[in-house]
Amino acid sequence: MIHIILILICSLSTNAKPIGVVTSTQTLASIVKMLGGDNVKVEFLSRGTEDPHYVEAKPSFMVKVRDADMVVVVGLELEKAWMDDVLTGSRNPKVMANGKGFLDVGHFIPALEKVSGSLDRSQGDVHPLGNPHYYLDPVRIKDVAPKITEKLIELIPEKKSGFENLQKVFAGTMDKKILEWRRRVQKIKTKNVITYHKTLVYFLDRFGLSLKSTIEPKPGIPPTASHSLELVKLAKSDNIRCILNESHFETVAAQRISKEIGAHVSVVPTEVGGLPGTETYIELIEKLVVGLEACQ
Amino acid sequence: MRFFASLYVFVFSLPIFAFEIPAKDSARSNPDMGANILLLGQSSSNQTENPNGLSLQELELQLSASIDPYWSGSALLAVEPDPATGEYLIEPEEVFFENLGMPGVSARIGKQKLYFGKLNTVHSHALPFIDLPLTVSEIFGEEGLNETAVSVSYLAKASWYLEVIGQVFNAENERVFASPTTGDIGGVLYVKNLWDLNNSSTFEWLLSGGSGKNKGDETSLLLNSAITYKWRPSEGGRYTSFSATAEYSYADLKSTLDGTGNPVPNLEAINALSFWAVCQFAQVWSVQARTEVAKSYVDDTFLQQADLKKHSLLIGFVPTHFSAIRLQYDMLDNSLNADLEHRVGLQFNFSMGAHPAHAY
Repeated sequence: MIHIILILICSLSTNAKPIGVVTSTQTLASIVKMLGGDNVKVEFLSRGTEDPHYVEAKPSFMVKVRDADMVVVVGLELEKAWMDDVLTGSRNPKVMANGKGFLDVGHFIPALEKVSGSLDRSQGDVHPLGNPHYYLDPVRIKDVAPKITEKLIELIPEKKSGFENLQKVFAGTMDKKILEWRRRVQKIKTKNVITYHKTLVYFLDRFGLSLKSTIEPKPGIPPTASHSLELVKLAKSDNIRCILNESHFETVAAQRISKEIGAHVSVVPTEVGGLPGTETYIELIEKLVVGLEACQ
Repeated sequence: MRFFASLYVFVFSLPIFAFEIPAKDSARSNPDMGANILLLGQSSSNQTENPNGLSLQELELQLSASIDPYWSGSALLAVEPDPATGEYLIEPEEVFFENLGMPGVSARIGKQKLYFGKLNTVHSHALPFIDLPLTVSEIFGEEGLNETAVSVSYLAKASWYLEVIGQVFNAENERVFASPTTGDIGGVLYVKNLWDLNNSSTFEWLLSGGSGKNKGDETSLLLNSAITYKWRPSEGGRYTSFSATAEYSYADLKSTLDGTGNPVPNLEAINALSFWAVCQFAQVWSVQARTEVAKSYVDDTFLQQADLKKHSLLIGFVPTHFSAIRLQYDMLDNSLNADLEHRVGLQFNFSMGAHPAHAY
């Protein structure tokens, strides 16, 4: 299998100069690298250690996007606070929202937590189009990968067969890993989980676990003492023994609650690069599964 | 008056346009709308110039939308009290259209805050302190440099962020321009350099210069330079950050006229230097300090020049991107006044509706 991958990568690396791809997050960069091989030179804006909701639109981001042939974003308003400024500031019409080189992956995702009723800011930082953290569901990522491949082919049609082959390799690898992760998660007795933010909704849903509550009282709102007390009551009544604290959030509240209820706190990455040893998408999901296993 | 009438018709007829568009598309066809409200409670030891009390400092109403594939537009109306009468006035603070369809270049036409120095383009609700620094207010007045202009900006092909903006405008600012000849134009050139020092910190160097005809039919010369160091760790950046800025502004008004139309004798230039630092020490808390000196004129008659020193401290509580409460203390030493002025301001800052991101 490794030989086949190497042959495919080598076949892609002949002739054409790689196109410049800029992704909004480090996680998307890892996925595009797997799908694009040597024919793409991928850079990312938000680092894995940062909260992608609250990234500042640094002028150096505009310099990266200025030279890009393609921009890929998570969408569902994850980057709403900063990406528009970056695109506008780059003065690169081909990658602006309606440009040929722009891809909003969120458009192709069956989203969870879409808001159908009324919505206002008293409910916190809620995304009306649905929870944007779909990239932590490896099945959704496997399913949406052909859309990224389509866009790459649109930009370099002469590499069509190479991109299609890489896409097949990616799907095969993901299928294998998803089966393994499913088997491991099934063995975990803990089925109820608390997280800091609603980042892990898709991941938990995919593997049959239940998100009982979050340390934030509302999305984007810092923890309060009264909400922490409610969590303690809930954890005791529902026998919750696992707190997954996303690595870019502080762990003070999680540690305080865990002392009260005797739960395990796993600090888990939610982006590629979020913690050491998560340099690829596969390693990211692997680390999440390991975080769950540590709760046993 | 005709402008306001047209604007009124434009704003309030939007729902009619919306009804003409299929329902599912109407939300996307309407402009983004938002309001920023600033309430200020103030107490000062100098009651003559700064009466105590709570007031609506400013209301900003903003509409912005893409117009077609080539243009986007933004209209911002400011409602604020007239300093002389205390009555509320509505003013088009910014109304401009921007073209983003050209590689490397963008163009903006309309009434706009001009790029001069660090904070002239920043709206009141996004200023680091509850008032403008002396480097802006002592040269252009409390509204800053805000003119009807054509502005072209270019992002250079450099390895660092190098932006050059040229602006040509109707030179109407009362303090530094306002030539008696109608139709006189001014120009400002702005150069912004920004380097990433590492993943967490940046260094910015701004240079701006401008000129335009003044009341004495001479050419006013304006210069500004500002440097900013900014640190926000790529790990834990939600909870801590730090920035420090030093800014210097200079205006040579040459043989301008005083309020009675006579040339001002022994006219000296306006100089202002500001330094401020912002330290965020928790997710929702920050402390800030500012120290400033300026040699400037007391009012637009240019008859009395004063040395002004101002020191400010601020503590900010910012629970979300849409609300903030800020307490600021100022100590002012004006060479024309015998006593120091002590001033405390408590500002409530709220945003409703669409709220564009603040610039880096």
